[in-house]
Amino acid sequence: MSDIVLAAAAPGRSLWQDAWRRLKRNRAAMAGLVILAVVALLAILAPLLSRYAFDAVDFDAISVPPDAAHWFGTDDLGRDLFARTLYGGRISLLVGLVATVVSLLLGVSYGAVSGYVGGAVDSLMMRLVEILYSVPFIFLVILLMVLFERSILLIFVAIGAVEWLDMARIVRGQAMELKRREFVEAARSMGVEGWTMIRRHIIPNTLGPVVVYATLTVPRVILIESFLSFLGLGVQEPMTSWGVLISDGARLMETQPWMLIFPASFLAATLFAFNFLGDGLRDALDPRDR
Amino acid sequence: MSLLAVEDLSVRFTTPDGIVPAVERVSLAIEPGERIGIVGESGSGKSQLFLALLGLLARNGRATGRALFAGRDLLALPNAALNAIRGSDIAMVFQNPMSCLNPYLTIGTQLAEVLTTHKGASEAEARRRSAAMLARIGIAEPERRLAAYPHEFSGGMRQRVMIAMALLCDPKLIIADEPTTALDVTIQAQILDLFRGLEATSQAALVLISHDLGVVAGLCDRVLVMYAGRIVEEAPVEALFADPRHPYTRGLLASLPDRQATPRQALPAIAGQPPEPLARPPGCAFADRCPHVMPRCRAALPPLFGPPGRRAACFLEEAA
Repeated sequence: MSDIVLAAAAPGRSLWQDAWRRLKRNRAAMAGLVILAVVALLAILAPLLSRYAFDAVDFDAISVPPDAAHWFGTDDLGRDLFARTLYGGRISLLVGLVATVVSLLLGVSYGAVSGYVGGAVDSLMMRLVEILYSVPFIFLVILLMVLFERSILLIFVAIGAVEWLDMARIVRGQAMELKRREFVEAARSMGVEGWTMIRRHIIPNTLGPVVVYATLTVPRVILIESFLSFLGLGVQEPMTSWGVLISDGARLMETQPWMLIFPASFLAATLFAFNFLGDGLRDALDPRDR
Repeated sequence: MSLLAVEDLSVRFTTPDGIVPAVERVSLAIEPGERIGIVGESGSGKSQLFLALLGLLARNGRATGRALFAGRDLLALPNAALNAIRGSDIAMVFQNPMSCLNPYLTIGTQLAEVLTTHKGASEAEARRRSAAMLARIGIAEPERRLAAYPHEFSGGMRQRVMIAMALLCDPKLIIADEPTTALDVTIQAQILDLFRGLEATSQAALVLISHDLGVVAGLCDRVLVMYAGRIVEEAPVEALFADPRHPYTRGLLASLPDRQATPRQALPAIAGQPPEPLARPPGCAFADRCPHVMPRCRAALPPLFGPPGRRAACFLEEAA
């Protein structure tokens, strides 16, 4: 209740600002946010932080356990694992963010139009989504790999092409409920319609669930990339990602456990952080709490 | 020429149970600057009548008849032309101010939207005029309030914002659908004062839809009483209270709580229920509840008897 009183005292505080204040009080979510910031900084500053290039082979230091020179040890080709973990994080985080942004842009506008317009248009648009759902994902990726050159861009496209479907469905459901709300009817009675209505009145009101879902999409995309890399369909040597590193490490975990432990802890910490943040956001944006 | 002339307007909803007639062959005229009250209980069709004029019926609703506004038939206009009229020439104020504003946009953005949509005003111009309108409607510090969000406003203030929004484009007709029903009594009085004060500053005609006779009495020149989708009585407001002609109107007036009544006395009420819309009788819909019912009431529908402006749909009026 004190939230409401405070809000009334200071005009201009949006629901987002309220949510941010609630989020700040959620320890798990804030811890997640801090972890994400640290991991992102490490990945961004990788060239400055590591003394070795991610693809530099050192034949004098093959499969060295962690020591003062190689903090995370080296792999069976003598490459520094600290450098490779940070560079791998760049790819994993980038895939996660780009694919999520693609799914946001495509899914939110598609779902909002489908749900708001309704009727035959809605049926048609949703059948298209269902057809795309039915395409087996691995088959799609292999097909893309065969048709085009293997590249990191293809992974973005393939994952984005699958992830926006869920987002479109979520936003469509929201839009269908929103268009019956009184403020939408009031806006209609004021002569607002079409794209203006969708842009100004429908989409902003779907953003709560969308933001939550997006934070849960990032870790899923990172996992999908890891999975593709594990199958050998992902990034190409010598470039690496957490998925590739873990798959290599898993092979040698009995003799060189550090090759698995370090990339796996980075991945796990990031996934946990995203999930905590998503949970926190869901609580912070929950309208029933207001 | 009347500002709005409605002829034989019917509204029907297609439902799984059958076709529900919400409004049946209503004709009415509204003159420029006039303030007219529409009274009726829930389900009498009073809201649907005006939603139909603006093309805002639910998807399964259909309106037939004619509604001439400034020489154009609203019911025949394409949607784009209706959009240009909505909010500009005809504005609506809804019942529940708590849910009629978009929670994610500032008050200023929502007010300005009306002006940029209809008048092609620039953002700065729209904000300036919005602030001026808020001041006129009795909101202090309008510039600062424009940056506020709806949840920072009380119910009464939100209803003021809705009214400001309706007035922004200088409409010829304002339709207020139960504008005070969701507010508590003191705020109700303030909002009614606001409407009363509009007469001096706005040329707009006002349609006040309400189930509250008291609200209508204090604000309107003329009253239409609706029952089961039809107009049953039309009268100047003083005449209606002094000398109600239709038995339903008499019942309504008799049901107003009396200050002199002893506290333990039961409140008077009209016995019975209005007929189900799907099973309305062929004759007068009020027949089953009417103390003066005659055999012919059940056989034929009474038309509106009496001179224009003072009519009642009751066979008792035929002889008079």
